[in-house]
Amino acid sequence: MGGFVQLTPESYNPPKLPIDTMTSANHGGCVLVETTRLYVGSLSLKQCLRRCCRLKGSLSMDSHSIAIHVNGTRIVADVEPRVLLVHFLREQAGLTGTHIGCDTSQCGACTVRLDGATVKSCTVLAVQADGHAVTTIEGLADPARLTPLQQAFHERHALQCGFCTPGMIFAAQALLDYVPDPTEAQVRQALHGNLCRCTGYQNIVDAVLLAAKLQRTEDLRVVEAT
Amino acid sequence: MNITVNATVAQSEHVNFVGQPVLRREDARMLTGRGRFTDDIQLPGMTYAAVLRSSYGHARIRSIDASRATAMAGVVGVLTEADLAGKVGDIRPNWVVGNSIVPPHRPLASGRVRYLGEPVAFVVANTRAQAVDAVEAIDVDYEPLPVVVDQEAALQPGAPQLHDNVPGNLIGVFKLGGGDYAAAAASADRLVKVRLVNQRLIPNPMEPRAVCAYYDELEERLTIYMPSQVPHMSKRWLAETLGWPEHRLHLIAPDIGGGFGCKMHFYPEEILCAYAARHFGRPVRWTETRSEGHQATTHGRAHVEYVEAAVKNDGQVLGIKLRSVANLGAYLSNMGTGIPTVNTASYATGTYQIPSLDAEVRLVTTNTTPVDAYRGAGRPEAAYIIERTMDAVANALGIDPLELRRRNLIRADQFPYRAYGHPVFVWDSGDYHRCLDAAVEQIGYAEWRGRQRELREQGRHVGVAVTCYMELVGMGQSPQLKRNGFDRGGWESAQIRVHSDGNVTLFSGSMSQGHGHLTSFAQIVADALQLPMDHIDVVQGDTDRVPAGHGTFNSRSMPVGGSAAFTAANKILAKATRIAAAMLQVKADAVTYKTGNFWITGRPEQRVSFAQVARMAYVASNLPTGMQAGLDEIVFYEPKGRPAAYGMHAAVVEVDLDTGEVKILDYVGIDDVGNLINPLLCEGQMHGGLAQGIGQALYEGAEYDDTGQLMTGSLLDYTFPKSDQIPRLRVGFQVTPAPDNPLGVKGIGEAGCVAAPPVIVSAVCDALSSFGITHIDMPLTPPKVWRAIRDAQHAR
Repeated sequence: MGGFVQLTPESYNPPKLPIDTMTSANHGGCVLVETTRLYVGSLSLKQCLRRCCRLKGSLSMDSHSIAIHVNGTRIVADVEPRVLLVHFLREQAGLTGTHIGCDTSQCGACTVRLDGATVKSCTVLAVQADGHAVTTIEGLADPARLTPLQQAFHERHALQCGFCTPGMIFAAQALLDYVPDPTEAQVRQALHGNLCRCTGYQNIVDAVLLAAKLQRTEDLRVVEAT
Repeated sequence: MNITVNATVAQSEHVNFVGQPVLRREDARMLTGRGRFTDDIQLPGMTYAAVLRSSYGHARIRSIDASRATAMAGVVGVLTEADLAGKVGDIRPNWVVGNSIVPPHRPLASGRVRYLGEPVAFVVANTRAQAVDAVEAIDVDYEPLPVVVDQEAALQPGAPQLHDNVPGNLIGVFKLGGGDYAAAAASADRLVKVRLVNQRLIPNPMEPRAVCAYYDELEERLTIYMPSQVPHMSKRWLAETLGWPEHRLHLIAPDIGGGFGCKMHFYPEEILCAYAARHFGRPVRWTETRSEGHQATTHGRAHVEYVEAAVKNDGQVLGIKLRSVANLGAYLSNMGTGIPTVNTASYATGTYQIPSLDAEVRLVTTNTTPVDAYRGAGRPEAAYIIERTMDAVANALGIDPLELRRRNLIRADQFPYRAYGHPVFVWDSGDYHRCLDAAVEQIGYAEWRGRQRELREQGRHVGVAVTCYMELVGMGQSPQLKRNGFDRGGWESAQIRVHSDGNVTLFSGSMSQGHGHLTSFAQIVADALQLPMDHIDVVQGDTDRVPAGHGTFNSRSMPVGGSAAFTAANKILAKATRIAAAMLQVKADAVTYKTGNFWITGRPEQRVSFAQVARMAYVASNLPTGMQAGLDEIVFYEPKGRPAAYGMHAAVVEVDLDTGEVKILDYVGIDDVGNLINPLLCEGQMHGGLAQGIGQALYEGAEYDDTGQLMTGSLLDYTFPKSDQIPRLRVGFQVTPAPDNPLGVKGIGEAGCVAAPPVIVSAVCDALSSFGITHIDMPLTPPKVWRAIRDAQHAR
């Protein structure tokens, strides 16, 4: 793997999340960040929260007023502290292109950009994104003007049911942003966190390689979608 | 051999679309997040449902107290069996083979729970979080009962009993065969025996199941959105169970995020959402979590098979005896009894000319999630049975496994081939030897055999294998389905409506779940009507718009649904030609039609366009005597036969002795699925099927512990392949047009996951042959392979 950038969240230069504010009075003194990893199964969500807050000696399910810049639009909403960013995007912002395919952060269908970094939006609380900027698939392009990567997905038949596709696009674009000339093995490794059950990945890999080629040759066509 | 797309086929022009790698119309919407899945639907006044599920594998319910939950903020109401009894019917399976016993199955548990995850109560609240919170506030007093999860253990005397009307947990015994196996065994030089386990799998389409139901009080109509592979059948089952008239039930299947079989069955949550929407007077949406899906959405496979092959020393296989025990789970799901019986046993002789088959399948109920059709639905099990058996025979006789297969394959001149003298099972067409030769050549079988020896001297263990499969697709003719115990027909519908401007809508009873039907079905209609594809729209998945249908399963969309569309298009053209003739004042047989224009044969300047004819059909001022106005035809296409798709797959693997890890070095699949409507989409279907087949071979398996707890309850514990776990797949096609349908197509949706498991296991065992290892049960995970190597070394 000579020269390959291991694509861990750190390597994406993630934004500094407002973790410090989590324990402030502003957020009810609830230590939410530690629960993020715990309450991934929604049935035990409240239990986890209770357990965590009991340890820390506080429990607040009060709503918080937050504002998140989504695709350039400031969206203000009152959310419970347990609301995940993905739920905020789908339910408060009404942007349903970000999908939920699992409850354990395995599938990557909810991948979005947070202040330019690629994140699974089920691993971020909505309150953590307060004041930050999110780009969802709806904000990336519209059907009549696809990005080169999206056009490559179309040309290489890299999607079937389309459910994993928005997350796949963000994960693949993150690779291309850092590694403009990836090998096939690098593409496969970079997409490791995004599950697809339809395509067997081959056409996705080929689409990413094609997009890399298009970008390298500066053939940044903005093609009219068929 | 790989399909290359050099140029986009312009859908706005007159070209021949069938056979072209036309790019999909579905893509732009999906690529930009504009898909519309069931969980995306938002209706005014929406409420959200959550299900309280059994936390025991088997228990008596002493009491349910929902009073705390009902009083919670935002809770609209809670339903239990007490609310449904006498108002909502049982969940009935749709395919019941032979004399199988159907145990009662209520949408919400009645007095007893029989599997982990069985629905016990249904909460409706103003927000999803409130519903989930309220579920935790319901108190259920359970009395745990003894549990049995293994189907062979469930048949033992003294095993825990699940249902009062199913003595010994035996749902039924199914027999199938032909020829004289006893005589074959008597005249055989050897009997080769193997025991195989086809492990339990969880289908895992990326979109979880979801239901959104809404009741219109003024129109007294129920509208239900759900990702159903079989919209019209789902509508029928819901209407029957709810006692609600079908003409007031509107079912819409929006975009479906993969189905693979598990979205064609009938589930409690569908009934509960529909009932609750009317009962509470609010729209209700329920979406399962992935972990919930692992418990509550049907599983697949779960058979144990005992196989005996009667063979001659020259390798000729005279007969197969199959005794299998199938785990159906706690209740009979839709097609549960049919998959391990008709869908498996029928194909137990595979691609070979084996004159006798004696199969007996025992169907068993256990404290596990119901098992039903999952991609392949019986044929992966069958291919695994015969191919693992052929390897065992080759090993026993000391014949190269490839040579053994060559000697037994059905020859091209034997088609149509009547399998083991059975009155119904006929394999229609093909050239198995040519296909095998292609796979052998592509993989470089002889070269790998040579390299294998060299590499072994270097301590590297590489294995190569070639295996075969065949499957009937399309499900079959209606009377035959009835004889097999089905409560559904075998036809598919297509309605084609030509609008007054000459544009065309196809309403198809098939149902895409990512297959790309909006593209491939439009290709068929565009060619039949000789119009640009842009003039053709395809509508599926709406029971108010599509008059009737069965849906998509059993690789039937193209052979049955595609043939329906083709037949309807030809009816349209026949009527349009008669209208054109009246307009041109000649007889219909004097009219020529090409690329959107009718003219008097030999006088191309005397022409009317397809659009002008369409307008005349509605203006109706100059129609042939007695002809009805309109240009709108519906076809219920009944298949004439069942196409037999097949393929030969080859794999090279390397096993790391230190870790037990299997690496696939090369994979080749050569398949004959008949004519290809869209080779690009066909290749995509093969890739996806192969990934699931490789998943079964190497990674996947649902596990229960002895108390009935699901040990693979989320994607943390249940592995299906990731991008770096699937090798580059080399897919090629050989074409023998299917003789019994007008498109000459067979079916492709399931082929990959039928083909892959045996070839991977075979190649791994070949790699480990020097240790005397002849078989390892799937999935071939590193610890399992490592242990097999260690045990083999200790045994020496």
